[in-house]
Amino acid sequence: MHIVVCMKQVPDPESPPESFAINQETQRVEPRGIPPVMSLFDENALEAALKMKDADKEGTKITVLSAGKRVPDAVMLKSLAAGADELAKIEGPDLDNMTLNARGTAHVLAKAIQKIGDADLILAGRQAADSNAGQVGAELAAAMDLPLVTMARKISPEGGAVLVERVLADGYEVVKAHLPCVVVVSNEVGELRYPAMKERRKAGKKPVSSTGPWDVGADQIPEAGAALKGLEYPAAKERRCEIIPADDPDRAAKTLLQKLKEAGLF
Amino acid sequence: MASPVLVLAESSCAGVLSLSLETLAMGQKAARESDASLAVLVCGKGVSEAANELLCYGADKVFAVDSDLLEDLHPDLLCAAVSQVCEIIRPGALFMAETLAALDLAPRLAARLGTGCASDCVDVCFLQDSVGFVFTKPVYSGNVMARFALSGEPVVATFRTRAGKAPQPGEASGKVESLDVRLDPSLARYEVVKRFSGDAAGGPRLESADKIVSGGRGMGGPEGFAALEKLAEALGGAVGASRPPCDLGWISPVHQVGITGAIVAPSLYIATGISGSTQHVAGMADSRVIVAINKNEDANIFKIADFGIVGGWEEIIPALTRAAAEIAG
Repeated sequence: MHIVVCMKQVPDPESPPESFAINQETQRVEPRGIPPVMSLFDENALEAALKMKDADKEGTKITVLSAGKRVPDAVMLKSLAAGADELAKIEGPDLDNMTLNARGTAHVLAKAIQKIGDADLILAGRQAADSNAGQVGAELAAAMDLPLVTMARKISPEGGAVLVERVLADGYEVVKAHLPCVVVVSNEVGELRYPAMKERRKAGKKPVSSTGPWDVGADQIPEAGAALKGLEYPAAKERRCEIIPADDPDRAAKTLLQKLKEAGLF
Repeated sequence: MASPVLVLAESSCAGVLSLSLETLAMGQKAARESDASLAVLVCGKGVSEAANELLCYGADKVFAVDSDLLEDLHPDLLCAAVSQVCEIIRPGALFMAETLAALDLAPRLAARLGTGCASDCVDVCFLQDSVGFVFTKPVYSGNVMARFALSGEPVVATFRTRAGKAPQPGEASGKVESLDVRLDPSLARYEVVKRFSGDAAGGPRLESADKIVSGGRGMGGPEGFAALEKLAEALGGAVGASRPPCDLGWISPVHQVGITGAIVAPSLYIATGISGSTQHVAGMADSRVIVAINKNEDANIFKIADFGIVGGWEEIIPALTRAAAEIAG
């Protein structure tokens, strides 16, 4: 099975708030002094693919696909070290992650996947850590006219199909989707494994390709469905933490509840 | 008059979700500002009760799509049903609450309709010039708020918990209009093999709970969550969790609070053994009162808390449970 995992690079979402500086003139967020990383949920998608490869090493090929203005190998190498077989990058000035929206991204990815040709299963993370939109998976399935399964926490092959466990509000369900299809992976799949040193060394020798959007036939990027109208910092909430001494847990508990009562609770 | 604003409400056996009522409030605002009518839609099998309940919130129209084929709310069928409703009533905007179902439906629908979509919004306003609706939503882990205008009709938006304040029900007025849509099992592009429900156990749903007791990696294992369960029960609240305990299998992922779980804003949020990662904090920072309990006095969570206790859950949580039971008793 050939699995294509769509991967976005984002400014490290765990960085302190002041690292996300707004430039009002350009209407852009300028990450300050923080490294780009692979988006966490796309890492989950890669982990789902790697779990399938664990079960069938010989029969599974994983291609990591990433589109962006510039996709540094340094960021993406981690995916190869973790066990992906190939990295395909689509790079070009029009593919600026900060302005290209889901529909445009999906168009480019769809063209690239068509160019790859033999993809059976296409995985994407549930949402990107920067734009927090969660639309590329759905747009990709629509652009390619493929079945779409979302909120996957486990994927296993079954003949020419996959069995997918989907997270629901009150439990989960198992669904069967025929290949090729698009599966959007949720974080319950688990964190991306930590690559061993040996794998890290091997990663540098794995195939990496870089093409422009026009090389894959993505020359007409569709019009954006969303136009940015403004960026602001969220209204700061001032909280001052009052520490309650905990030498005597029972007394601490009573003091806390008293304070909560005074704050209008209960 | 502008095209109507349509709110898609979700219901459970307990009636219309409070989250959907909060979204209805955003629909009311959008309709008022754009001088449009407000319509509410509920889809599923056996939704007449929920539809009748929706008559009490002053919407101009309440529509229902009731079909056996929507029993499991298969995303492909639901998407087909809602897009046909959109063809019939031609809304300018379609709102839904940011639920697990909407995480699937909203982008699926927008992709099918070719219109713009904004998820996890906290506000909407209408600009009289040609811009139309402008949606505000957090980006970059909640460190920046972005405003977007969307293209096409209907624009699709989902709203996070407490974006709007659920209106109080009034007298029921008008009648539910049943809409006939053409659904066919073959529209489902994948097959549901089996379903396991009841994972969420009893207790209030996280998003609508007024008090939440959450645990993180510091709980050390499932037994820590058993202790939190008791405290939640004493407080009449729900149990939440940060991401690591869910990924480690200590508690079901339906309890997860954070960017990838529920976005909550209860009156009281007690964070126990939670360090305070951005991913978690973005999901609970709007809670009215935040209490942090953590062994590590330098934990980030204390920076966003109103009250803190530096100590282990093993001592503090049982003491709190006893004290809370006394208050209740």
